Amino acid sequence: MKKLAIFACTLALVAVATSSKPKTVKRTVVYASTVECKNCEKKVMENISFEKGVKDVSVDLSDRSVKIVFDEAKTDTTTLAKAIRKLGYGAKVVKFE
Amino acid sequence: MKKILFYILAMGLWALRPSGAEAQTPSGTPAVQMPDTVGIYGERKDTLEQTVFTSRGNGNFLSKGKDIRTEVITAAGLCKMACCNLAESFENSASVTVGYSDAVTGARQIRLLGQNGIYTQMLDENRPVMRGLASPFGLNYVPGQWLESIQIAKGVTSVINGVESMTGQINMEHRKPTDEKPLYVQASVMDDSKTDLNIVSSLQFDEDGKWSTVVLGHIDGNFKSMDHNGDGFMDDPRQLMMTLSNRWLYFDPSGMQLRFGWRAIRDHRMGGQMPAENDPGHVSWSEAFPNLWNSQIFNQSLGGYLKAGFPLNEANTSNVALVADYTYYSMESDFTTRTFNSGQHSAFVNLLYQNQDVEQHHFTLGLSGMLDVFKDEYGYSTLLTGGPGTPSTWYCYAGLAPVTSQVENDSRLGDVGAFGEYTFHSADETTFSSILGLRGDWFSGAGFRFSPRLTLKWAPSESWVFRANGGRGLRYSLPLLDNFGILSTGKKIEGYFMDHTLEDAWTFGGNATWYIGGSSTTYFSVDYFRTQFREQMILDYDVTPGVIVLSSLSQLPDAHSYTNNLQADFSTEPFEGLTLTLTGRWTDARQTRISQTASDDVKPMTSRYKGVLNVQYATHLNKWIFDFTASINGPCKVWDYMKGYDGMYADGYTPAFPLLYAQVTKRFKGVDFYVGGENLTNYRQPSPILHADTPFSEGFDASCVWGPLMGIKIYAGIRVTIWKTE
Repeated sequence: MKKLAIFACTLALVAVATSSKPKTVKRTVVYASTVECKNCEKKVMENISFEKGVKDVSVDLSDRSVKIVFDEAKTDTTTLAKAIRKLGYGAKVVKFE
Repeated sequence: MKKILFYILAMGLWALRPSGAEAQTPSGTPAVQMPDTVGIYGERKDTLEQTVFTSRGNGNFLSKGKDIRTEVITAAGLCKMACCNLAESFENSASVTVGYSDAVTGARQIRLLGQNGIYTQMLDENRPVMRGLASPFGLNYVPGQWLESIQIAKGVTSVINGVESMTGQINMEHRKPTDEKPLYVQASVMDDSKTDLNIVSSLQFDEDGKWSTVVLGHIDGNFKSMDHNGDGFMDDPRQLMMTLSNRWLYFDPSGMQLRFGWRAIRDHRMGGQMPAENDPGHVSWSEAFPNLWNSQIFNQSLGGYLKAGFPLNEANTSNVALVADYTYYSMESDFTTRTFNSGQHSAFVNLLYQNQDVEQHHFTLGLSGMLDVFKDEYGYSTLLTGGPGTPSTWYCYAGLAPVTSQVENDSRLGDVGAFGEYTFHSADETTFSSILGLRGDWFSGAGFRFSPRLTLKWAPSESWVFRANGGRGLRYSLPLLDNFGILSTGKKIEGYFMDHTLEDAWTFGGNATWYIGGSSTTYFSVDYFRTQFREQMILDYDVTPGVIVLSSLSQLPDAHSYTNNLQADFSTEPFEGLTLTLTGRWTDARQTRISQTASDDVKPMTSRYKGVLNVQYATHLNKWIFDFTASINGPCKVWDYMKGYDGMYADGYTPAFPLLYAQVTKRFKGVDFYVGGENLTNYRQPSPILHADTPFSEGFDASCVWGPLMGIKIYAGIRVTIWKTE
């Protein structure tokens, strides 16, 4: 019972920690990249998702592109391109809105 | 030990070295992105190949594309729970039921289609593994964090890897040499002191990515003794297990592939009655505490394999492949009143020719051989006349030396076979497919056997898939290993317990899956399978009190042994991030036994049903993941002699019991933290050890386990992934 209570408290703390988010200014950038396989997609998703300011990431293997929605106050297209290149893939801005 | 740790650490540090010029193709993409398992066997639709899972949040799902009904547990699924080892990876699955072989050794066993896991073929990337001596503890020796995915195929599968799969096949895909993860570390600890550490390093060596390797290291231990139910016996054995593996891949642009590797395992476990003093020093427990019942098991294994595939034309539509595997395994086990020591040399060779020159028509021809050489020593004490209720001190203080006997048995079990498999696919490759497999084997001591197998799949639309499957399975029985729990009893073992009967079964079944609205994530599936044995080793606890008898099905008059299995699965993702899976399984297992009454042929210790509800919610980009699993495990018939024990089992059945699991994972870049709980209802099987107070009597029995031995367990862990970068 004691263990169950500790476990419930942990869950409650986790729930509290996830609440309240500040407002952000979202921008979208699409990079032409060299991603070409599911492993590449996984690698990009697992890394770029956790870059500062990134709100959404998607990889399109059919046209080998990476689309990122980000908070302009926290990051920029150059930083994100650098992060993609660090993973071993090309990153050239083809669309920015 | 220190050297092993040093080696793993050195490999990790080497992987983390600054790398200016990583392998690049002219296009700028890393050259290591290449097909992995394809090329040895080609793109077979019914064999179980590596899949890369990226965006799917759900950890378990039914494969839409496989010709045979296949449940996939992804890497995400393996992270839903503690999943310290393979046995603990099936808690989300209703197809597979996992239990303990007994209440003292910690050996786990699975059931698929209502039958013991020995009838399920275990594959390591399409190589048969976990056979013979490796089977009782094999599930404990596969660290969950070494795996990339698990595929559970129901029914009879391809004839290419032999015909030992009677109820299905479980294939494990390990982390790959081509993974761009030079270092992966996972560590977890449970509140009962069970600790796990995994280190995996995948390295790609040359610029064109031809050579790559993965080193997999694991240590786990249980350092503290617990006796929550106060029966004087440890709930879980103290143990220390280490395993190390190294796998290599050579991939030539011509399509030629070479894979080889080795693996070593060392495990020492001690269970049984808890001594007052915890550390006996350098002497064994049986020497240090002669008046206590305990079990000590020492397992060691060393094995290696080679897989080579050679294309015969530029398009690789025609190729040959060789698969060779050798493993040595030794087990030294002492159960106080009996011992079982054994060594096994196990070899497997497969030579294949595959042709896909004509579209829609593929065929595979091959030759294979398997040899297992066992050297068994079974020792037992015959001074077990105390009977239930005899004081436990009787044996030790009666001043009588036990009369011990030993049975030695050297056996060679082999088969050589030839097989052919023809696959037809409709022009679109999805609407219809059929696989006909024919195999002839010569079994040492049993002669020639012919095994046909047929698989059909029809997908008339995006929303519907129908499958049918049937065929024959054959395997040698290994009575003491197949029923390892019987060594943890005070009962005398009689009958064919040292014989190796060739067990023979036919399995037929089918599956219909409705993908609602054509979605691949929302589906309802129903499947039915029946396994009918023509020959089987039959275990019977009820022939004579204090005796376990092993007999052969074919020698019993008007005998039968079968199971009917019906399962329904529903899975949906009502909105992004939330996945719900609901599964139910019903089993009717019947078996003739010497002791059975005419009207009651229900197979004992086989659960009638299981239901599983799994809910997973992942926040956007999977930064938080919440997992919850609830299962209800149905009753099973008990052996007659158990009825009324300690006021239980009055109706001859165990009670149904629930299990709850929950886990929260917080993910950062390259680091995951998780905390979770197992068996949150704190349900434990009452009195799992019969006559625990008189362990030297014939009534003593730790083998009749049907429920959890441990209560609520809280754990926490960390996973660190370092990706290959420029």
